[in-house]
Formats: sequence, structure tokens, C-alpha cells
Amino acid sequence: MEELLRMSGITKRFGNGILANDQVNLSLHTGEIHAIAGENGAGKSTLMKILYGAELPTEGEIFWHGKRVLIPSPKAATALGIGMVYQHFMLINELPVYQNVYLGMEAGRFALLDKKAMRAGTAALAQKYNMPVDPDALCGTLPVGVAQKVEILKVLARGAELIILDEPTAVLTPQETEQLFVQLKRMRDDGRTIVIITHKLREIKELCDRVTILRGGKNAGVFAVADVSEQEISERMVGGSVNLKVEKRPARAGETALTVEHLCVAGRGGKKAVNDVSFCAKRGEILCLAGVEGNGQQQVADCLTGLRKHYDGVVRVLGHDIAGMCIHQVRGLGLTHIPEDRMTVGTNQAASIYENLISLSYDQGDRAGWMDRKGLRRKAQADLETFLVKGTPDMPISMLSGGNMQKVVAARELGCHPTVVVANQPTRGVDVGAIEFLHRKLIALRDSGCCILLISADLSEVFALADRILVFHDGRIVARIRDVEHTSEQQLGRYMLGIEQMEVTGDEA
Amino acid sequence: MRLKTQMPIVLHPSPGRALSGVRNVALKLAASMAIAAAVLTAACLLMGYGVRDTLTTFFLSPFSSGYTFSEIAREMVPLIFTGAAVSLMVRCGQFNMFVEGGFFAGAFAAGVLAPLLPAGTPLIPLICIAAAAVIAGLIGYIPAKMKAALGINEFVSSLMLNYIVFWLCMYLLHEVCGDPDYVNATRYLEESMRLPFLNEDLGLSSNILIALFAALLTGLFLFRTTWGYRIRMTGDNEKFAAFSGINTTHSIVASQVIGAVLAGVGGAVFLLGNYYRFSWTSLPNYGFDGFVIGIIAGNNPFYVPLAAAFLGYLRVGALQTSRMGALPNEVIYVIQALVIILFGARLIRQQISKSRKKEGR
Amino acid sequence: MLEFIFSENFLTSSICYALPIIFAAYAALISNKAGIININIEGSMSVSAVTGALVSCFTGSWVLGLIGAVAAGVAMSLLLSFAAIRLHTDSFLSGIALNTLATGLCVLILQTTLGVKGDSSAAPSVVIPTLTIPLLSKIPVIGKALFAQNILFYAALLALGALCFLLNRTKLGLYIRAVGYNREAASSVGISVPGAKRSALILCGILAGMGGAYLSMVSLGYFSVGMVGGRGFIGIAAEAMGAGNPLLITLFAFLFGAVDYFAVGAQTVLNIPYELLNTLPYLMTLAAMVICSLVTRKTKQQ
Repeated sequence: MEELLRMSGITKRFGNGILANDQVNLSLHTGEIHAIAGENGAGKSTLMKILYGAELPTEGEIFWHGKRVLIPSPKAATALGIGMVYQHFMLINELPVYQNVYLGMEAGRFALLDKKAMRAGTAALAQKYNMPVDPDALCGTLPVGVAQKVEILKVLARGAELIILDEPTAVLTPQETEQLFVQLKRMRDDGRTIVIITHKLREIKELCDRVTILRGGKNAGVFAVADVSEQEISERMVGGSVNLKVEKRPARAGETALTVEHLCVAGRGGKKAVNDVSFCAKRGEILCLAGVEGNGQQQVADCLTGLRKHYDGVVRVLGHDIAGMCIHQVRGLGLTHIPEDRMTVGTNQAASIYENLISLSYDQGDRAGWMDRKGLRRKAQADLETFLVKGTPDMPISMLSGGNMQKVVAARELGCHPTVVVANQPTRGVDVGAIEFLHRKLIALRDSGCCILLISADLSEVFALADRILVFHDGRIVARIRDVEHTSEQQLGRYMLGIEQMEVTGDEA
Repeated sequence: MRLKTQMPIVLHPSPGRALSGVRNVALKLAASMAIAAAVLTAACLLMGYGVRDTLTTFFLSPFSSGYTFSEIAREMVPLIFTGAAVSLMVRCGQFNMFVEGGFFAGAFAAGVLAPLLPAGTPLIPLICIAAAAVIAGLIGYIPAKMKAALGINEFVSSLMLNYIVFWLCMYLLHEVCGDPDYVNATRYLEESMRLPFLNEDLGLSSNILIALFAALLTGLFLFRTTWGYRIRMTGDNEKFAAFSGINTTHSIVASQVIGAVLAGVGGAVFLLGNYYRFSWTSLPNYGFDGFVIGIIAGNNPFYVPLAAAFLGYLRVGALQTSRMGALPNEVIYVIQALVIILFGARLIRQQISKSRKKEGR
Repeated sequence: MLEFIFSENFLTSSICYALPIIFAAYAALISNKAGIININIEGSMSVSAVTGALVSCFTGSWVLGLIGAVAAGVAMSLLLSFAAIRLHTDSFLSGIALNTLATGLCVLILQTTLGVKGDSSAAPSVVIPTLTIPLLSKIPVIGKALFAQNILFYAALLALGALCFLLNRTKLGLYIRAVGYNREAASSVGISVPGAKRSALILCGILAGMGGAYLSMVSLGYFSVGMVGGRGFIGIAAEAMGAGNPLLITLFAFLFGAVDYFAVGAQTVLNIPYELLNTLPYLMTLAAMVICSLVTRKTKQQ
């Protein structure tokens, strides 16, 4: 087998001191499908960004066809024949497919566009790899699965020898995934080399020839997939990694705090994002909505917290129907919310830590509209101390690391004695110390009688925290798990991927 | 409307760091002086005036007499009001130009109302100012509501409104409530209708004190009250504000209406302090001046008087220079333009904050 | 009254009043496509107007005057692109700044060249001539309005065609739109974002320049301070209402022009004070913005 690319001794240290890659090696053969596997935060994405020129390595060398190369920008990578399909598509929604495919390398003489040629080229390419895409459709109207095809066509049209796909199946339905795999194999047979970033064992087994496993930013093995079992791969991925288990007593569920009845939310292209979902959550328990992202959990959270006004069905918070209530009123019931996106929703990046901390309590103790600055500052100071935030109240919040920023959000949302907490991916992109801290806080709140609705795609988090689990797939609840202790990760994974469904009994858990 | 998608974010120094804020403003003032000197030199060379004489007149003459000093105070009054109004609205992310029309309408309303009140009414100026505030606030509610309810870009709508207000005032002035014995002006303002002078010989009106007080109040409102907090959070990050349970529509409307009220009060206070009749025949451009002040003051109302004093000083310098028969007064606009561009530049802002970080830590 | 509106003269004059607004709207269109809200069109037009008037007067040639006006418009655009693209000053603030600059610059230029402050009536412009197309101009009603017009009228027609062609058929047009729609995606495939924006702004300057030239070299015959009178802003409003569609934009700009002329022309026919008539174009802009937004809201809901 000829070696197409070799990365050797790649180290990447970010400005904030985080070591994302530590002396990582990677070797790719021409015409293989190669998986880069690892848990969240293992450094997979960083390594691929370095390969695509979106990040520069701190140390290390890259050899392309045996020659040492520097890849300072995506443009340079494209010129070499390396293409990347990001998880977040880089498509221009207002333009038709064929213009997106050829953008930046249009056909046509002089300064004119040859639309015919581009249309034909797109159609031919789509035909060749059996991708049913209409060249004239506007990208904004396409379903996610098709939009991804357009991204792949873009890369193919640029003549890429090496195609990197970042978690391509995260947004796809099982059928779309199957289809994608067929197409990827066809590309491989055509002599192209494909790298996919993934943490799904089944995909590695089904699709890939070889796998490179990363753990904590370091190499944890390279295998031919045929020679290795799923069990072994998963052990290598998790390895002796930090045990996230936090001590916790069995839940003592109290009265019902949240009720959702027959909730439906409209989604893209006439599909229902949430399809007839009913459940309830009690005080003193952590109910986890698990699922691959984009299966409706987010929309449920938006409805519960008052962010989304248009839905069918009934949502009750502590007995109150929140239809028509504004966010302020919903919060007034004692509900707080750790949002998924802490950079734009959870914090105000232009303001100080103090101002971010008081956004729920700024009107407490005010006199005729004048803020009680002394009281608020004292409380902010105390919050920073209890939540171990490394910062002073007057620092701009933008100077904090992700973990500390999330602690500020948590301090605000958990520090005001809530009755119901909706925590949406509360520890994503946060360092291990902060994860443990936040987990302890959530459990302590639960024990004090708070109802916690956890939304998480991270299996280890789900198992560490959940008292009950509802698994979402395609906008529906496909499993209601009461006995978390005796459920395996594999079993949960199968539910999440929609391979299996649990018989839903009459009991409205 | 498509315009609204690209609303700009204007960064401002964090309010908690008062000291560095003052230093920041001082730095800007020094740089503005340099810009002014450069523009003047260039203009003199181009137009064939003596550079040294012009620069001397421009920079020193404002200090030459008590009269020029009180002229600076006079220039400051509208600048403080419009600067505070613009700061308040920009803090909420609103680029509303009604400051211009509100100022005009406020001045007009005061000029018309004062002589109409029966002689001997106590506190005529106060009544007029209140009336101006109400009128400007009511008109200012139009673009605010249009933005909040329909998402119509407030910049264009408020500009259109300015022209409408202007022509309406002109109509009223010419046809309805002008002084029949005087061309294009309202009736004479008796002493009881006007704000008292601090020093009559120098023409120094007490309205500068009201202006300073207004800036102080605006600053307190913005940084010390719950309303102000809501307005600032809405302007910084609307998603965050909404997520926290803040009614952002409310903030958007409130900031624009309060800004309009400030402008209207400014117009009335300026007229009743410095004029004997309302006789403006064109929009005075104070709305755009407000943005210059806002930029220099970092959209912090507490610093607005400082920025206004500085710009007032430059304007009196320009006025004196043109009185000497040298450069025309309008050279000041060129200086203002450069000040906005350079201080608004993200590139330069980043450089400053970088160098400050290096020193500080 | 009706006689006044349904006259040949009304159509012809409406077009004349609409032309500067149409140019402004086209200028707004091209800069908006690249994702820049250029509120400096107003200022560019006034600098172009003064330049065109003076150059034509001093050289005795309207061609040179027009070139001067266009060059002035481009210069203002380059200033904006320097401020907004190079220095990263917010494009809105840059626009406000450059409008202020234009106010000062116009007076300074008048003062330097003519020694006066208010207008250039002492040095009248060489007027851009009318081009009468034989035969066609004899068609009743529309003949005079469409085929015996100022050269800049034909230039506007040409600009409309050129804009449509540029945006839909050329690489530059595609790049400009791509950058305006999604800057990140455009730059990810190697399109130069600043380059596309700068090109759009230069085109914007050319169009604004012609609009300015029309004011001082056709409408009035000399430059007068404040003669643009918000037409640049009205053009921006027309563009916003046309939602990026060149034909719709033209239609709206024409409507504004017609109302503008109505405000002037109706003074002789109607017994309404001119001050109130003068509010009409602005009132109509406001009303149109409200209606437009209500309509888009309705269609979105469906």
C-alpha cells in the first residue's frame, strides 16, 4: 500500500494553554477509508483542522506523497488535493447547488459564468457517485442529508484526493447514513482516500479499513478494522480515562414538576422536529433526555423554557400551563436554564463577569428602579467563590476559559435556588475538573429537592447523572429507561441510533 | 426589512473600570487634537493660508477671552444633549437619527409655547421644557414602535421622520404660529420665558448646568437603574437578554423614546437659554454630532460633557479662524469625520486594548 | 388636478425627479449585495455634484464634468472601503462619518475654488445634454418621456441592464453576492472577501456619482449646499423595499420621484402649502416601509 500522507509528531498547544494534540502520528494509505476515533475532546478535530490548514501545528511535520509540505491555509490544502466537509456546512443558502459546488472555481471564459457547463458538471459528478441532487435547487431549501452531499460534491469538484469528513453521520437519519456509506465506498473504489472523524463504533466496523484511535490528545493505537473487535476499540478510546462517576444516592422523587403532553414542534421541510412527545419529571430526580443531536431534545428544551412560543400540546411547569407566558414569567415560576450555546445565549461577551452574574437578580432589592449595587456585588462575589471561578467581578467575561465561563453561567442559573433546572449540554467543551464540579452541583441540587432535566449527548455524562433516561430519536421518545444502573452503554447507543425501540408500556414515565 | 440583519455592534469600555475609561477618553482627546492639527495644516496648504497663524488662532483663541469661553459652553449644550441621547440609544444597539428631529421639534415647541402662556405664569421655561419633552417623546415613539413591532430599520425611518418634522415645523412657523411682524420666526421671548444668564455680559446661560445635569442623570439611568441594565444587555447581546427574561422589545422602544425626549429637552433648553426667538431655517445637524460625541465618550454619558467640551472647543476655534477670514468654519466637519472613522476602527481599538493588557498584567 | 397627473409633462418630470433616486437605489443595491449598508451614498452624491458642477464649468465640457463627478463618487467609496474594510470601522459609523465629511468638503471646495459658501450659481455647470431619438420621440404620451430624455436617463437604463447582467452572469457578480450572503462560506472557497466588497463599493461610487451629476448638471444647473436633500437615503429605502430585485427597486425609486415631483408641481394646482407638500416623499417612504414589512410578514407566516 502506498502511503499518501504522514503526519508525524504533531503537537498543538492553544493560546489558553490547552494541549489538544501531543506528539500525534497519523499515516494514511491511498484508497482507504480511515477512521479517527476518540471521545469528545480527544483531539480528533484539532488534528484534522491542522491537516486542512485551518489550524497551525505548534510542532510536527506533514508529508504528502512522501514530500514534506506546509499547509498554512485551507486554500493551500485544497491546492494539494485535500478537502474537508465540516459538521457545520459552508454553503450559501441563497445560491443554487451548482453555483455552490463551483464557487471560487467557476467555469466560463473571461469574467463570465458558464452556467450550462457548471450545471452539467454538477449533474455528472452527482451521477457518478450516485448522489441524487438537483443542481438547480437552492441550498437553503435542502434537507440536511442532501446539503451534506453538496458539500461532498464541492470537495470532489475540486479534485480532492483526500476527503476529510467531520462526524458526517451526526446529523443523518439511519437511511441517509446507509446511503452515505455506499457513496463513500464508491469514492474509495475510485481511488480517493477518505478520513472520517467519529466516535461511533458501529460505523468504524461497517465502513472503515483502518482506524487511528486518539485519547486525551495522544495516539492510542492504529489497527486494521478487520483485526480488532468493537470491544477493543472502545477500550482503547476510553482506556484508563478519568472516571466521571460522581458519588450519588438513589433519587427520592417528590411531586411532579414538569409535565409535557403530546408536544409537537414543526421542523424543517414540513417534518416534525418533535412528534407527539409526552413525559413528566419530578422534584428530586435527574431526568435525562438522551439522544444524538438534532433529534428534538433541543426543541423540547426551548418549549419548556419559554424560548419557543409556537408549539402544539401542553407544557406545564409546576402545575402552570406556560402557553403564552414570556420567558420572564416562566423563570418567575422557579425555572432556570443552562443553555447549550454559552457564547451567544448564555453569556454577554461584551460585559463584565459581574454583569453576567446578575442578569436574573438585577432587580432584587431595587428601590424605585435603582439597583441595589452593594447587595448585588456581594452576591456576585460570593457566587464566584462558591463556584470556584478564577476571576474577579470586573473582569470582562471574554477573558475566561470555557470551563470558567460555564461556571459563571452555572453560578447564575443554579445559585438562585431554582425549583426546576433545564441543563442543556452543561459540560460540553469544559475541562475535566469543571465537569466534575458541575456534576456535583447538579446532584446536590437534586438532593435538595430540585427537578433537573438534563439534555446530553455525552454517554458518560448521562450515566453519571441520570436517574431516569428518555431516549430521543427522530423527534420521538424511543425508550424510557428506569433502571439506569443495569443498562449498558451499547444498549443506550442502539436506542439513540434508532436501531432498537423499547416497548413503551402504558405507564407515562 | 433586509436592512436590519447587519446591525452593528459598537463596543464600549466596561463601566466598572472608571479609571481606565478616563484615560481612554484622554487618549482619544489627544489624538483628536493631532487629527485637527493635521487637517488644518493640510487645508491651509491647499487653500493658501498661513499655517502657523491658522493653527495658533484655532487652538489658542478659544481661551483668549471670557466671551470665547462662554461660546464653548454654548456649543456644549446641544452636543451634551445629543451626545447623551445617542449614547443611550447606541448602548441599546439602536442607530436612531431622530435626535436631530427631536432637537429641532423641542426647540420649536418651546419657542412657540413660551409666548402663548399667559404672562405671569410661574416657571414658564420649565413648562416649555416639559412640553418639548412630551412632544419629542411622542414623535420618537413612532420609529421605535416601527422597529419593535415590524422590524423596520430605525435609521432610515428616523431620517425620513426628521424631514417630515422639519417641514411641519416650517409650515407651522410660516403659516400658523410665527410672529406676524417678523419674518420666519416665532414671537419674542421675554426674560421671564427664558432661562436665566449666569453672566449676561458674556452671554453665558444657565442652560449649561441643565445640560451637565442631564448627562449625569442619563449616566445614572444607564448604569445604576434596572432599566439601564436591561437596555445595556439588550444592546450588547439581544439573545442573551431575551434568554435572561428581559423584554428586549421594551428596551428597544424605551431607549429610543428616552433618547428622543433627551433631544427634545435639549432643543428647548438650548433655545430658551441662548435665543430670543426660534428662527432656524434648516436642520442643525446636531443628530450626527451626537455620534461624534458618542464615539469620543465611548458611549458613556458620564464622559459626554468632557467630549462635548472638547468638540465645543474645536468648534469655537474653527469659528474664530473663519472670523479671521481664514479657513471656513466647515473644516470642523472634516475633523469630525476623521475622528469617527479612527476611533470607530476595530483595528485601532484592538491595538489599544492589547497594549493596555500588556501594561496591566 | 387629475389633468395635472395624467399629463405628458407629469410623466416626463417624474422621471427627471426620480433619476437621482434611481441612481442612489442602484448604488445601494450593489453595496447591499456585498453585505455593506452604505449610508454614505448621500454624501457621495453631494461631493459628486459639487465636483461635476465645478469641473464642467472650468473645463467647459460636460463630459469631463461627468467623469469628475463619477471619480468623486468612486473616491468617496474608496474612503468608505478603507474605513470599513481596512480599518474595520463599523460600516454604519463610517457612513455617518463620511456624510459629515461630505458636508464639510463641499463647502471647502466651493470656498477654495469660487470663494463662496452657499452655491455655485456664479459658475453655472455645463448642462448634460438631452438626446432626442428621432421618430420614437414623437409617440404620444410616452414618446417625450422615454425617447427625448437626458443622456443620464439612458445611462440609468444601461445601468439597470448592466447590474442585472453583472450580478447574474459574471464571476464578479457571483462573488459579490456570495460574500454578501455568507462571508465565511465565500472565503472558505478562496474568494477574497475584501476584494469583492471593494469592487462592489467602487461600482456603488460610480452610480452615486452619476446621481450627483444629475442633480448639479441637469436638474438645477449649479451646485447648492444641501441639494441632495435626503435623496440618497430615500434611494436606500427604495432598495430595501425592492428587496434586492433591480426592477422592483426601479419601480419604487420611480414612485418616490413621482411623489417628489408631485410635491413641487402640485403647488401650482393645489391650494396646499408647499411645506406640507414637501413632507409627501418622506411620508410615503415611511408608509411604504410599513406596508412592505407587513406584506413580508404576512407572506412569511403563510
